[in-house]
Amino acid sequence: MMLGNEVTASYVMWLREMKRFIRSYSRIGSTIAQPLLWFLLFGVGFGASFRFVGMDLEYIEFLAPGIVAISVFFSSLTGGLSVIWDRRFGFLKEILVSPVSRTSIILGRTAGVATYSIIQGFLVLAVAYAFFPVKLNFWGIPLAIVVMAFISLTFSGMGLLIGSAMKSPEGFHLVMTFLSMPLFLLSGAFFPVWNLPPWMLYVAYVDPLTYGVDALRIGMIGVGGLALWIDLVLLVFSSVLFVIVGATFFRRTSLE
Amino acid sequence: MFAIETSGLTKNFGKLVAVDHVDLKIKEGEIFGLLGPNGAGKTTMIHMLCTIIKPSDGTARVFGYDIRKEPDKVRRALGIVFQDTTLDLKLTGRENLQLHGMLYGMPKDLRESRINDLLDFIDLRNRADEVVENYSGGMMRRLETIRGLLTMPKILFLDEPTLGLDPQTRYNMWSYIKELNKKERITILLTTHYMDEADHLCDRVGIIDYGEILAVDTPDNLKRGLGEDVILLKLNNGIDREFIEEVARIDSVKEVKSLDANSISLSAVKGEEVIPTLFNLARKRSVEVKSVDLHRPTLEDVFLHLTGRGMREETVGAEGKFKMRARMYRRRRR
Repeated sequence: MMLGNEVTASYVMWLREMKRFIRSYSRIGSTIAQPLLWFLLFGVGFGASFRFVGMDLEYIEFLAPGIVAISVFFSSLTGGLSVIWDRRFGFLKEILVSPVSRTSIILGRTAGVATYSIIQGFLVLAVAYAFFPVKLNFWGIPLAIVVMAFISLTFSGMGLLIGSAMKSPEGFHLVMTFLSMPLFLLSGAFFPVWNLPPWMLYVAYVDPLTYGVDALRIGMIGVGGLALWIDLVLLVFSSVLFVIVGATFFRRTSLE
Repeated sequence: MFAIETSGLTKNFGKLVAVDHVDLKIKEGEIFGLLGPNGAGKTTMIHMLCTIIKPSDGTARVFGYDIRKEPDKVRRALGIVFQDTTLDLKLTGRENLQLHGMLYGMPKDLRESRINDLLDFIDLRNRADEVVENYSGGMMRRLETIRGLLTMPKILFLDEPTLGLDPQTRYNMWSYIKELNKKERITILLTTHYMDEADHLCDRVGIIDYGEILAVDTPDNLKRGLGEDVILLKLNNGIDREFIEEVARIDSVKEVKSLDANSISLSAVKGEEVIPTLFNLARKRSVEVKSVDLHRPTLEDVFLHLTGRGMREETVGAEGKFKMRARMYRRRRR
């Protein structure tokens, strides 16, 4: 195994993700349109009759970090899952027969998904800032980048794990519905988890996105349910876990 | 050294034996065709040789590298074009080639100049910067073929190179493949279930059915092995006994039959070489030839002879159909 080749392989897989991202205008369009709808329908709609007891906080401010987190989450999960489409359209074979390690391939690919997911997160942030009464702590931006990166690694790893195990695209929508719905609805993006009944709170605690949303909220508006360091430690843990498990599943995937 | 040497190469899928103890030697520089019906084990064999599936038993060497022990070296020695496309449709033709070159660790200068040369070779340079989605089936196939060649492998595997292409595009593919073989001096192993393709393109053909190699030889020898060519000769002004006797005296002619007053049929070893002699004979005796018809055994006949059934699905017997369905089922599940 030659190290130079492995690095080049990672780089070329990263580059591929970026090119595909830049070329999919509809994807970029919907990245901006979808959160805009969230803001409008949820932010304005809910905000009209939703008040935080004893807190000087508009609902739309509370919502903004949540929407950013969710857009990174969706982009990363579908990015990881897209290995199913690579299998379906044959490109997976081209990668699997090449004489480089699958680990390098997966690292490059995941880095690519993370890069464009963070870009998408920023677009959403810009939309929120431009069109809605959202206050932002600008010192929180470097923190936001770090948190978005961890959210992205976690869920592209999760997508990769599912995508490598699934042999056909039929299950794609099933996964998107039954996995992603609870993950994003219980993450605290739309409503605070700290008021949930205990059984639901436990489910929210298992969801890595909860910590992503919480950390982003601390970074962006200075409000959170947990201490920042707890969020970060758990996010690092879930990123490492899912990237390793996802890569393991991908390494074992076969063409048969 | 042989380009490929398999020994007892076997692959089972559950109870089905897809490839059954195959011993095959492919020479350097030749175009070798694996000919057999769908599900005969051709693709499984290619997949084992390019190390994406592991043999159940036996092994093979590709330019001396063992497919079990040195898969990375095997992969670097070969280029492969799969049956179905493996291009990234959202990337341009050039980008697909660049990606491939980078995955195989080609230095940039070499990669870029080689990409341009190969694009010129398949007349695709002016469309190279369009996304592959916009290409026709033939263009995609050509692009994949040169991608397989980019890293200058010693051997190129082509799995059903003209499947689903229209007749003209097929014909062009054939000339590209032949030219590549000459120009790049590259060994080519291809699979096909088209008789004409094997006949037209291959230096040697291995006939494979139910995972077993039934015969290996040049297409001409395979056909000749079945027996002589049959020539049907029609004359304008009647045939006399003397003429028939003279024809029978030609060296390679085996048997002469008089069919009616104006026509004879004869069997000969190399029919094409007998025809001029027949014409000379006719001229000498001032008889006018009306028509000559040469029928030689086709690869279809060879296959029929070896397996007892035709190559096309509609001619497969009930038992064969059942087996074929079992294979199709297995393929789908894969």
